[in-house]
Amino acid sequence: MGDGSSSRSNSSNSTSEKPEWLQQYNLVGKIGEGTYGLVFLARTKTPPKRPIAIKKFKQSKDGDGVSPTAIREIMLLREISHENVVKLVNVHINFADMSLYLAFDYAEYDLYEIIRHHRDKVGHSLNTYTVKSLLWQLLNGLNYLHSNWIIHRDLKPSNILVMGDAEEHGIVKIADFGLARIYQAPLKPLSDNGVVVTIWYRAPELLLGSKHYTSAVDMWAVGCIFAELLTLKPLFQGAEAKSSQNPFQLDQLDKIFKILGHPTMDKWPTLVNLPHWQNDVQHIQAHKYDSVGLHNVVHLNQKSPAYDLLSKMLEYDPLKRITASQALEHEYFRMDPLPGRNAFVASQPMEKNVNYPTRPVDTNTDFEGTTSINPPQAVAAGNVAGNMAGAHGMGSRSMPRPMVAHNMQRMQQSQGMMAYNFPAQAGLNPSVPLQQQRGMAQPHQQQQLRRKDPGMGMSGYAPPNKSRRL
Amino acid sequence: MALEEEEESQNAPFCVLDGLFCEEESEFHEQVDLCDESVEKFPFLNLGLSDHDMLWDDDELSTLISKQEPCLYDEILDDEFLVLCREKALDWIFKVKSHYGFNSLTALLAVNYFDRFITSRKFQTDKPWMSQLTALACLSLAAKVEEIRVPFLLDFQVEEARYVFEAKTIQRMELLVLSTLDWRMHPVTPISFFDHIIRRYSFKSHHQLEFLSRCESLLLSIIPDSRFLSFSPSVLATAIMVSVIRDLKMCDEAVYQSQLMTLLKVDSEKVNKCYELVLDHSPSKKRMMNWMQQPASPIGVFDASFSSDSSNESWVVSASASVSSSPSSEPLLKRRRVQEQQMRLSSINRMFFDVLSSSPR
Repeated sequence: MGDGSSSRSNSSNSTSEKPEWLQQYNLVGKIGEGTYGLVFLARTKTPPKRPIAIKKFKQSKDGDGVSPTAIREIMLLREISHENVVKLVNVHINFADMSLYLAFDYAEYDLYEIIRHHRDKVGHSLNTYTVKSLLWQLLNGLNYLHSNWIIHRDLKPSNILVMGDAEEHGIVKIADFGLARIYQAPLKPLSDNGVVVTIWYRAPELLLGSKHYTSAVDMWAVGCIFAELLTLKPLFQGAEAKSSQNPFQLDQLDKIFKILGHPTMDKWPTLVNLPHWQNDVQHIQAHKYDSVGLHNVVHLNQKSPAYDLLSKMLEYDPLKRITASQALEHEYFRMDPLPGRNAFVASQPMEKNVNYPTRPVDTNTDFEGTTSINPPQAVAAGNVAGNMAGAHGMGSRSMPRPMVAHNMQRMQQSQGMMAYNFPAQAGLNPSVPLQQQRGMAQPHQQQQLRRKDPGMGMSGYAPPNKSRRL
Repeated sequence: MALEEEEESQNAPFCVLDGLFCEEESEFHEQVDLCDESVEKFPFLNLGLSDHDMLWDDDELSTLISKQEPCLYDEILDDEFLVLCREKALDWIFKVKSHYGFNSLTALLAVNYFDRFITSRKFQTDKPWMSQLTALACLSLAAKVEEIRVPFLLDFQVEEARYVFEAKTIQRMELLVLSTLDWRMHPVTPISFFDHIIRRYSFKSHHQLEFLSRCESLLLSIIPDSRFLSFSPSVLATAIMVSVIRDLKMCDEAVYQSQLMTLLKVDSEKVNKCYELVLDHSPSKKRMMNWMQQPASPIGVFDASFSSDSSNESWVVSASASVSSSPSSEPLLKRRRVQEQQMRLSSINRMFFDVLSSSPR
């Protein structure tokens, strides 16, 4: 377990050498793969040896330069500091291939896996204390973000992490700020073609083509997460139509209207101003909505504070939707059991604690993202890990990408973010290793011709195989 | 048609607010009609707005004031070479801004990055191409932070660039700028204060857009003058807003200046000094021409320094080989600009209602 040495590529062309900044870590293995790159688990060599998640940003397509998603995530995380927001420990730059590595405090769990564990293994819901504590901490972190005029724009269970280590056991961390935006100047529309929030958690005003994001889109997503914590399945599980850039998604709206009923002008005065309400109202009216009622889906008493809070989060009108600040003052959090800092273990435990499985770690994928010929085997406890390993797509790449380390210097956290010492001749002029590097570069056909945030939509009802996790 | 309907539906909150202002104002002091269209309106904490919303405003403002970075630009002002580099770089940035229809904040961010970078140790004054490459990287980064659609790196190189760089070279410079600036890419700017003041004072809707547009235009027209680097964003914003208020004849500029200085917690001596500099730029072209004539000799020196470093040009690719214009993308971006302008008009009308209702506190 203390090995930590990274495996080397078998390619004969490999000139891979550990970059200098990597010397401070013991690599354990790959723990995830998202839209923008791989995520590795590592441990710091110097005491205290704490676990670190290293997120690599893939090279942008040639000609685009540094990824706007990386810029936004890093610049926002540099500005904020809160117990319930993931902590960016360091940023490492490999100038040879211009890749970026973000080092985060590692979080063992996320809500997606916790919910799945309860659904597939435990067989019953999370206890009231845990649900309330998770929600409370999520709202605390979100209130902090909104108070600093930051909209997350991609809240979903897999982006809500929970810490596993002794010091911060059970603490919620909001993660993944690649789509976040500062809305300090509300005069400007924050339109990125309207397709940003993952579709199951996308607010109705976005689905109907609103160009103006507000913090209310995050609160709708929180409402969906709250319901999912209660029922162990997504609340509005629509299928995303990917054929056009049209933000209108009839199936997702259909799923929402079936539960909450049809929106009306008197309850949502600005509804008529939304582009797709006018254009598609015939299409929408064609569907008949027998409103099941939210209380029947989440099995809550309509007079209970929990139901009241949830219904206020899932208010159609974004102007009337409850805010994070208001939610924290809600009666739901004032009644027993009171929420706590450790979402897993109450100070006076009333129920048996659930032990959640740790993340599977793929030790066969080297730091470059190549998989050896041997089949991947997850290194974790027994049956649970074995089953979950199958759920994770371990894609292998056809061509190795050796890392050529040039001009790298270590960035010390204790000294703050040091500027990179940049020798102009060696860095700016194209170097011979770079030429070789370019020849072996992976094709990135998924990259857009112009910078647009790709939608994080899912198709069908199955949860994503490559859910983005830290 | 839809805009009119929207405007009508949004009139209610404005009417309520206007009524509240009128009632309060009549109680405190005589009305002085300084102009036909609008009377000066100053909200007070007990105005009828809830403490909740007003505190949110004050909290935002105090955050903006405290987050301003200290002025570290004496280096530029004392260095004629840097002043010239800056002048040429900003001229190019503004040309590309117009070419692609970027918004004012994008240009302002690019200037901020450029100023912070050239005052760091990473800027190498012995390389004549360094200034242009820095400007190019800074504008690209600003566009990525602020714009919705961003051109390719190679497509940024328009408007008579002296050197042409490979995409990978620009990307390396992007990384260098990002790490040198410690990834702090969202500074407080004068535009932050413009936006806040517009939301705070209830100008009539068509004045809001014109006011903001004039403030931004004036700001962009004066920042090539390096002397403005010695003023903080709040001081600069105050001087500009007072100047625009005077030009628009909206109300008594002296009273307005006093209110703004109290609100933004700025020093009156600094504001007056900055205001004088702003006046130097606005009234007549003669002063502008006088100011432009002064750097005549250093430009010659600048040209000489370029020609003496011809050996460094070997790694720069030729224009015909790498520059690829994208004429098809231009109309799209400019059309986008027009659409954004229209959206801004409608969003301004909803501004107060949105702010009051969606307050995160």
